[in-house]
Amino acid sequence: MPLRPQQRLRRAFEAWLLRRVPRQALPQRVGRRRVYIMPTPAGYAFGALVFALWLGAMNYANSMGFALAFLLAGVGLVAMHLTHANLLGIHLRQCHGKAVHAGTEAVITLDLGHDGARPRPAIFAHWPQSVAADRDGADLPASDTARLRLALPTEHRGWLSLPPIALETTFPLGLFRAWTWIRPDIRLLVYPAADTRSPSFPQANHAEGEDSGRHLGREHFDSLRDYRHGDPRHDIHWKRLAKDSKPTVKQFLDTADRRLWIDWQALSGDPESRIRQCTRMVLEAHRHGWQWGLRLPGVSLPPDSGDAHRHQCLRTLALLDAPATPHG
Amino acid sequence: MAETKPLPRERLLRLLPVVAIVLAPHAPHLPPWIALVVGALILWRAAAALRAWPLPGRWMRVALTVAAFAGVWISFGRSSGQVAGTAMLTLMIALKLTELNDRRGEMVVLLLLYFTLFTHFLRDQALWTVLWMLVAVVLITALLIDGQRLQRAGWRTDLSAAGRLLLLALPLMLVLWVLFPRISGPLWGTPGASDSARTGMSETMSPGDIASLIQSDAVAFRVTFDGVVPEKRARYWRGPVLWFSDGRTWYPHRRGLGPPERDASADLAPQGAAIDYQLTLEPQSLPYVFALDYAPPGTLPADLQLDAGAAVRSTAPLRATTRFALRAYPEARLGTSLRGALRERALQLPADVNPRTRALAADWRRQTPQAVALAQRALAFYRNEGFAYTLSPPLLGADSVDAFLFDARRGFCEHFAGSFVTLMRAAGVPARVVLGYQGAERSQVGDYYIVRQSDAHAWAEIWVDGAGWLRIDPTAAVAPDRIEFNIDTALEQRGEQRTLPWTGQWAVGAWLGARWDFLNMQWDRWILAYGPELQRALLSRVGLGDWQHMLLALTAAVALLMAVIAALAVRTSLREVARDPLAREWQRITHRLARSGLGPEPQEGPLAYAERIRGQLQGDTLRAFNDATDAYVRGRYLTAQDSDAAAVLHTRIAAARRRVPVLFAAGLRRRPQRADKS
Repeated sequence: MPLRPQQRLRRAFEAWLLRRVPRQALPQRVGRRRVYIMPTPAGYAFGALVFALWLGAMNYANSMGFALAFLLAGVGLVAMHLTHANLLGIHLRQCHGKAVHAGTEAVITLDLGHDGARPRPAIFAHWPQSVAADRDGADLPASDTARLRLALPTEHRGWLSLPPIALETTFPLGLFRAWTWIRPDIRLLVYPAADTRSPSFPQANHAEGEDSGRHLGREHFDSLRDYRHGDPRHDIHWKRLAKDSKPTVKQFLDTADRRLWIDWQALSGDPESRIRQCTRMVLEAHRHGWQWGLRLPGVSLPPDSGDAHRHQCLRTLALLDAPATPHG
Repeated sequence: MAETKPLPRERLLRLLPVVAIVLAPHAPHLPPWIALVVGALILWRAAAALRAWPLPGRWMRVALTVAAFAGVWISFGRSSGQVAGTAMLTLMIALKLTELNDRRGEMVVLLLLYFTLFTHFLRDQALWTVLWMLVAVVLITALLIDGQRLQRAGWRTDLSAAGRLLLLALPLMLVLWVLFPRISGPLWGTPGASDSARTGMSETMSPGDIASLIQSDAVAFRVTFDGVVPEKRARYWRGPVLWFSDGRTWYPHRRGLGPPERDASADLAPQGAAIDYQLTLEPQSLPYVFALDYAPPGTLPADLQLDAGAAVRSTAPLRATTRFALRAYPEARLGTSLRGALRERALQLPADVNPRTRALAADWRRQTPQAVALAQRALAFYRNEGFAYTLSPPLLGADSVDAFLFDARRGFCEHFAGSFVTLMRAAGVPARVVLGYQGAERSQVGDYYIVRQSDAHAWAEIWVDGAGWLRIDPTAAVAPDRIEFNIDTALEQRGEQRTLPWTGQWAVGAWLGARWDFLNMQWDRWILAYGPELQRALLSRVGLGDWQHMLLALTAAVALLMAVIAALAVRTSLREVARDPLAREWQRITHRLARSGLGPEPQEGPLAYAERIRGQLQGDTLRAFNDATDAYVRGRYLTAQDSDAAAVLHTRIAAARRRVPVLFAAGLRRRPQRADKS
């Protein structure tokens, strides 16, 4: 979508401002140094109105017209200071978000607060225009906190440093927009995107061992039996433990060999594509409650199951330095 | 920016009354259909909001807008001019309401409302409009504030926020108003005379004109005499001079002939004692400055000049209250010679009307050919032939002068002046009618004189070779009280009276009226007349006589005020309250004590502080303070786990806080304590 010149100018101005915003550890307090303030479109209209009133008063030599024009000029100037003050002293206390897959939107929660004795109405947060258009706002009560949520689109796997966050307000009159940039020194893990096109677990590469020709997915789990001392912990059926009083253990037909291995070498395609395929398999294996291992160039994760394992796998995949040589 | 959010119903229902309040003062001055349409649209929008009716579609709105334009065009003929513009503006605001359903639209309406306030001042700038302006601006601003909040916060909160904002803005307004250099003269077209429906003197005179004017007690102008005050009977304030008669109505000149040019007949040489005075003229639709007879051209301020009838005219329009410093020479002689075209004008009479008057005049002329003798004869005629001065003369027919002089013989100053000049001209004496004001009443409060519309008057001047224009007031021959006292006294002689407003009828009303007029006089004199001249005159006393210095001082003052406002805003914004509930209560108590002069020192601990001020408290206050100190000090040494104990202490300190009076004189007495809302 082509940008209008006005937007382009605004983005250029924004980029120029953002170059001087350092990364800062949270919590950050909005000080007087870095609050910017500009009229809003309504503010420009108000300025034109005051000017028109002044011209009219002069033309008709109207004293009360002058009084009105100057009163409104005063109102505008005071509103500017109040807008500026409405942002001062606000803390960005916390800022976090859950890991998401590349290509989806991460929801970042911002904890805003302040210690002032007056409420701070209409405080908004948003990303730079070049990043995303999402905005969220709240009226901060006196000396209290509020939580804002901003959706942040992700593109690539790996660490995503949070873009600068603008805190802004147009309160009280909407004639001026005061804002400040905070660039929290926080990064967000972005899992790789899951492949959606290739079939899951193609026969040739989803497992190894003598049973590789069979569909392990439906068969490697057999039955439940009571827990005996020495059973591996990950075989315990934890969900059932909540219902029954005694622990039960999942029993597998062929425990060693039939565990699922997701193997980089067995996949085809360029590295990013393989990472996406691996991601998909990890997600699917986790959904079925299977155990799986992950074998990647230079790193191998032994078979296991559960959320922590899933996270470990996805994290490894997210941060994998993709081998330069594509597989032939 | 995502500003086009939908407008919640509650916000709309708050907006509509404010629209009504701001537009209401216009209603009496606009055609009734506009007031009705605007009112109906506001009510309809409120009903639509309450009943969730659909808003009209685009074509409907276009049709309404076209209809509004057409209606204004039909009512006013053209869509420019102040009243037509105001009508259009109010209609546009009302029409905007029919499509109003988002925040941006609300902002547009509010900005238009600000502008509408100005159109009110074009018509009326009286003292009370200041109050009205402040109230309206607070209301509109409160709506702007409300519109910015995400969640509504009660109209009281918004109104007080708007009020605070305005309080901060007022000093800025004052500084700007006083110091911003004023520029004289209109920038574009001056408002047409047809626009202003001001009551005031007109430039023509037909029977009944002045009689309707004098029903009004409105102030025409006010006068402050610097030294000598002329006698009441000498207070003739000259306005339009009428040369041309069509037999019934008098005009300044014949249509198509153009105004007469000033020549030797308007020569004025200062003579006798001078009278210096200041004249504060209310807005006029005509350019006449009603100067006291006679004002020689050399004494006039710039912008003022004499016309052929020796009336003082302003070259600039007199739309605002304006103050002039003038000088009069009541004994000066007006005119050295009357010749040529002007003499013809002074003798003009319509050919075939008023035959009896002509016959009478011809008769007189044969007997007494001298001008002065003729005038005296005419005055004697009025005096002796049963003429009466009345506000309600009978209707006169086609030959109105004949009907007046020979049948009705009851009339008002315009009848006397008009018939007198007709008689004189018919007798061959150059004569003319002069309109203006006669009189001036001393104000009960303040050292100034008031000339009201009810002092409007018409008199005559005749030309006497060797003496110039002589003033003859035939009304004085009939009703000397009109000249010696005022119109009411003159009418009383006949048992008549004007219909007066209540202020004129009771003593209290008169007393209040006098004071109110004094206030208005000051208002007109200092506030409304504050233009380039007055500004320069006043500011030059403090060394700011030119615009460069004014701008310099203005910049400094505004910068200073802005710094103060910024400091105040930042201070209130950053003033912190303690996060710990116990500490917060303690802080409230110490703030409250600080208001009575018993606050803690910056580095003072709570125990030392309590020890220091305990002696200055007594009774309930002392007990409450001791409780609070005890609870606070205990609370400070609790560990984090003692949440129950902390809650108990918090209850105690909060209870103690409620018992500490809001304000008291330490150790002397305590005021009744206020119920604390928090």
